Amino acid sequence: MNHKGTIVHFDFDPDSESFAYDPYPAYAWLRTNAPVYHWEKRDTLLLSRLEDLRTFLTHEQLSTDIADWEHHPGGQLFEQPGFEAWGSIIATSLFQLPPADHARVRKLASVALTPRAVRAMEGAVRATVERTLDDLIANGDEVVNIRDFTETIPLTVICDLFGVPSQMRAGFREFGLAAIRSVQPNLDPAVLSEIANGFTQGKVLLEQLIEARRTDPNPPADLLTRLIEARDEAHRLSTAELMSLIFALITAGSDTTVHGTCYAVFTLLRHPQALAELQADRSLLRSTIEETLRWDSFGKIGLFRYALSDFELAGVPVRKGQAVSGLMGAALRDPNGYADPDRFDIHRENVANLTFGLGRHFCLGANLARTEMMKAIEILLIERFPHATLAGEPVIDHHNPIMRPIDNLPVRLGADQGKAKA
Amino acid sequence: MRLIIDVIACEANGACTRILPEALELDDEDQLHLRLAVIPPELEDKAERAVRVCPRQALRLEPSKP
Repeated sequence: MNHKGTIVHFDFDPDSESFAYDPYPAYAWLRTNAPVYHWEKRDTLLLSRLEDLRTFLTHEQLSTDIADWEHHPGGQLFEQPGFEAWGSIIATSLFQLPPADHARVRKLASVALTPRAVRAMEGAVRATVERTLDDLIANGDEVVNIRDFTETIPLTVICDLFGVPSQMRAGFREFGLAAIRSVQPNLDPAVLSEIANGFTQGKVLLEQLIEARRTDPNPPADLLTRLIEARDEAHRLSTAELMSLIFALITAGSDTTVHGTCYAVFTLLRHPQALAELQADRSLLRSTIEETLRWDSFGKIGLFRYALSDFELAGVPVRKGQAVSGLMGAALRDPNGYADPDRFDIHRENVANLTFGLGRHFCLGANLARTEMMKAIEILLIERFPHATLAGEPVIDHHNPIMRPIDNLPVRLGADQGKAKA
Repeated sequence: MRLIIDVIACEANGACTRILPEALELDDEDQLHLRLAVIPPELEDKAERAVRVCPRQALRLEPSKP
């Protein structure tokens, strides 16, 4: 029943193929008819309005710590053989630490990721994007999968930032994918065992990375060295916190931007007029990226909080220990936040993008992610392949429970305009 | 009204300084400085927007002490 008491048949099935390809009709229904929707299958309250997402992200009584989820159906990951070693590392993650520790640990990393700090990395990001694009076109294929292009850019940038040796990088990507899969409850035992293996191997990688740097006679003055010094000299970081923070930055920094960039390319190729405007005026690049993040958000149901007490949210009671999730893709199309929200408009000002969150857990890597996306779009679609077109429909992984990743985005690149002259 | 900066929360994203450069300034070491002790009425709308857009929610607006 909706708020007017009319019986409505609404089949919410975020695992369906149709939802993965176009979740927006379902999102619009939820915003209008059930802005706080009880998703029975997972016993989770889903929020879909922009203002409710703001409240959700900043609410004092909503925790990011999965341990506060009293109705957690899983917990099995910790029962996997070899996983005990991860207990202290998970317990000191930025999503689990109490506020004072959270602020101390976060500050150590955030100073290296401010817009000013990231501007100094633009040249390195450009070089990475150009190298990745050269690899993509090395075979001379007329049609390429853009996912192959976006797949390695963030991993390379974040591994460069931490000075991760090249032979460890594939291992960190596997580790990151295991970490992302672990977010979801109700995983079957075979998958849990795979994830636990990924974590166990990842811990070895982390220890090797830290030890190699500690014994380096001439350590570079980078973020990893500073974090190790914060532990060894200033005692501002415990070993578990150090490992947890490096783990979080490398794994989080190597996945979301892959999908955000893929969607940005897809969205721009679906809007050739907007792309032509951007090609004529690069000063639109920043607002274009913000609009691609708003207009088609790759997130599905991955943003979870757990209630610390009984309270009301948008007039609906939330009980202590309950899971609440914010549907970012729905909020970013809310007509009460954006004029004509279904229109893709690269001229929107002050989009107040919630894509990267808000408040205490605002994405640490937001500035780096934006820069990676801007450079990827600038080099691929403005400088090198301005005549690129879609060569078919994308393949979206509808089985993924937390996001709608594009696995294949076939694009006909057209003539290469060559590298920009320095 | 006056603006209060939570210096622990501030991560120098600069969202506020783009909206309210009259009152807020980032130095080249990523420290945020308040240039006006009191926000004049004509800047209050902009100050409210600056508070709202801060990704870290590190600003708040309070009545000035009488």
